[in-house]
Amino acid sequence: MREVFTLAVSAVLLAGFYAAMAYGLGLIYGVLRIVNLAHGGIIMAAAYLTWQLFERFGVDPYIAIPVALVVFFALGAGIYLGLVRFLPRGPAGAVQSLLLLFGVWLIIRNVAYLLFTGNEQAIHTSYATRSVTVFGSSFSVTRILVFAIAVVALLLLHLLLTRTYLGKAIRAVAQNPDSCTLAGIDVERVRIFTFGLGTALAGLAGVLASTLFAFNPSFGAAELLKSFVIIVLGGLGSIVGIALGACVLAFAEVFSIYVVPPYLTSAVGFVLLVVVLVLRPGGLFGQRVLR
Amino acid sequence: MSAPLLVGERVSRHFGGLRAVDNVDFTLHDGQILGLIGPNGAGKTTLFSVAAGSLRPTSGRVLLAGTPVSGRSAARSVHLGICRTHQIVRPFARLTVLDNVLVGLHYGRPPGPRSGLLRGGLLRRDHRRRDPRDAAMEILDFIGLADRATRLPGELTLAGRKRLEVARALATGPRVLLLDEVVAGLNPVEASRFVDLIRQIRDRGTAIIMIEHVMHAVMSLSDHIIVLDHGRKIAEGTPELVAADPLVIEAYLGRSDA
Amino acid sequence: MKRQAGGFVLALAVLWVAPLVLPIGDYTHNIIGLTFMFAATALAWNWLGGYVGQISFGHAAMFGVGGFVAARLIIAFGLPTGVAWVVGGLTAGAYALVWGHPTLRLRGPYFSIATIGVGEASRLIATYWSGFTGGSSGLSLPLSGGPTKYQLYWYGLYLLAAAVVISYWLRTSRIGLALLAIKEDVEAAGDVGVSATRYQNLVLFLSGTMVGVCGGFYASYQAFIDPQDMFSFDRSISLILMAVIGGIGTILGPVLGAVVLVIIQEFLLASYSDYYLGLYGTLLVLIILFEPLGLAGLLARLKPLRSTP
Repeated sequence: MREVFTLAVSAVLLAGFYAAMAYGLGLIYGVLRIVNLAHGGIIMAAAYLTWQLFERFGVDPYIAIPVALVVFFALGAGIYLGLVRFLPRGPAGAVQSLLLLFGVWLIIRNVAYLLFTGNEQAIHTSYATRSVTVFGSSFSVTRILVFAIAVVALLLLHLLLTRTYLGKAIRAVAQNPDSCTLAGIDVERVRIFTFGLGTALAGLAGVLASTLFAFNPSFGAAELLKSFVIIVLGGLGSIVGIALGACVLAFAEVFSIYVVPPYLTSAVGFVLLVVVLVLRPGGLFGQRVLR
Repeated sequence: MSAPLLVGERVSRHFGGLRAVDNVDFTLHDGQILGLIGPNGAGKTTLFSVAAGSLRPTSGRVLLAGTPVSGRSAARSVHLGICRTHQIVRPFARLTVLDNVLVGLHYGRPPGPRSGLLRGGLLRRDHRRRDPRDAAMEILDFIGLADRATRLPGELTLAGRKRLEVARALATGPRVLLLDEVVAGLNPVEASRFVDLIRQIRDRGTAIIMIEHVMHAVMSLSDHIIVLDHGRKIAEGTPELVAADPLVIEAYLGRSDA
Repeated sequence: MKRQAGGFVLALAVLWVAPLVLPIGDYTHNIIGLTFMFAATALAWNWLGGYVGQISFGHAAMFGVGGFVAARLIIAFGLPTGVAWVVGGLTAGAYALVWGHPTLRLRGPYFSIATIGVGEASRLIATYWSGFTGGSSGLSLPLSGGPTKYQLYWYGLYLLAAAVVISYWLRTSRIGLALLAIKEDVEAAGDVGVSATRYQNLVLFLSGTMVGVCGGFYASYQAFIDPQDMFSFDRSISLILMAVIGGIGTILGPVLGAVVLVIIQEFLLASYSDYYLGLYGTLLVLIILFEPLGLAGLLARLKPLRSTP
């Protein structure tokens, strides 16, 4: 019983991180109908940025978040303006965008490799090994902090999307870009901003990931896959959908230790993905449309 | 009258709480044109999708000469002899007009014993005595696009693309053709040419169900008309009868352009 | 069409005879043989990626399955090499159908991401199923009995010839028309009777089988295989790179792409091995932005320039 409790809380904590990680991918797909295959590369790059700030200047990883948001917003907007903007829209563009952003991912990986070598890195903060005991089960402080930051970030994002003009414009473009042009919304600017924001969120996920896991330049492939699984599970409908999708994935992974050997944990998400895509093409919890 | 060719039995299709099609019966006889009218959102296109096999009915079924066609794949319905066109035409944009028709010609018929790989290529020379290109040109000739055979669909006018949509459907050799608003959006001259074309298709032995907003077209062509509103059948009968029905006038004619 | 076929037969004959009459060093000879195999895998990837428009990021799975099944058959039963490759290939084709049948109904990014999952799951299973794959220590093939590296040149050429013939067949037969229709608009294709499931499954099976046979070739060529290499994501990527750099959807393209990739790998990266990912990434980005049909597209552009007086 104690074990089940421990696992359930771990799963919830993990789900918070997963939700923050997936949202950027979902946002970009919702507005531009493009899967950002560089998503995993951005997460990896942000982890390295955090590590550098920590090692060189002693900046605490969580203090580095604003820096990462600004840097990766700029990078995302740059990728859109410099590359993605030139792709044709429609099915031909979908294939091309996959390949193009995949190329971007390879370049990011190579840059990270040249700068930091292929060795595994990890961030060891002074509180990394501390833990909190709840009902006899202990949880690391880092995990709890990551969860809290992820939840706060998602709430702020929700406010941004529902309460501000820009957020409403983003949702409008996701639903129907043509009528937005008619209504006087600058669709192109919304796209630039969305790509920047989605990339910044991947950057946030990278900062958080750097405090949880060791990483190297190929880090991020599993994160990309998991993010996609969450979007498919939860639909793009809402923060709630993403959160539910993240919970399903986190619980499935954490509790899979009872069923499959641990090395297959990362295959759990994939199995979920195929099952859901085949049985419920609209996602488990609603529509693929960003509302 | 002959035995019915296509029969819908208490067909319903719900989307969540919305009853897009609600308990609709219909019957189509050989050599007939059945008109399907009703205001926007009445469920006409949904009924087409169910009859064409691409949407599963929530309940009820559609039978073609006694064989159920609903609830299978669209391709399977085509092989059984029921083919639809789309209100918004969907030509294969990077295939020539001729190739568009050839797709229907090659794949519209049920795969026979020499199907699959053999039919696909190895035996294609002696599979049929006639060159399929001749057959495709014949269809294009009939539909009035023979001189555009080597063009891409994007180079055609809207009327041309609608003709292509019909040509591609005809190439599958359908017993029943479902036409979704083929006349709408055309200028009066093109529209009246299209009305003649539809009549000729019927005279060549293909039964037709047509959804149409252009009233004079549907009234002059149809042998029988069904009126849908909010997914339900509110009236049916000959064009004259339907046009005089007060329920129809209120639900449809009274509210829209006609 | 006739001229192309003639050119193809001529090229085949020249390549068949070349090592017998020209003074080609062993190293170059072997590398060319390997290039034939890579070109065959790129063509096979292209059947799915180029003809149907379904981008697979997981084809290493079939390469690995084909390679390990062939290797096991050779080790355990001493099966003739060619037979072992074919059985390995068919197993890989069947494996492709197992995951492909449910996932091919997805289109675009959904299918692509699912294939990343397929590749990763296959790699994990292969790595930990050491009873069959030898785990991290891999499998060594017997050094005698099979074709020598020198002879493998011609085996590679036959693989490439088969891949080119199948490519032409898929392009020019009726099936080619169905594939184009599916690529253009899968629903409209269904509405005129094209069963997308049937033809996509057929293409994936052919593609998986060919890649699997190539996996067998690679096992014989290296005489040693390990799952981390055979099933690696980088291997899946290399198929995409060859096809896209050369020209997606064309027949000449993937062959050119294989040549370019092998040249980069063998000659440039020997001295600059730290740059290969970035180089591939940059090539991918440039090609998508400036010439989506790759090198084959560039050649086609050059032709009219040459013929104008």
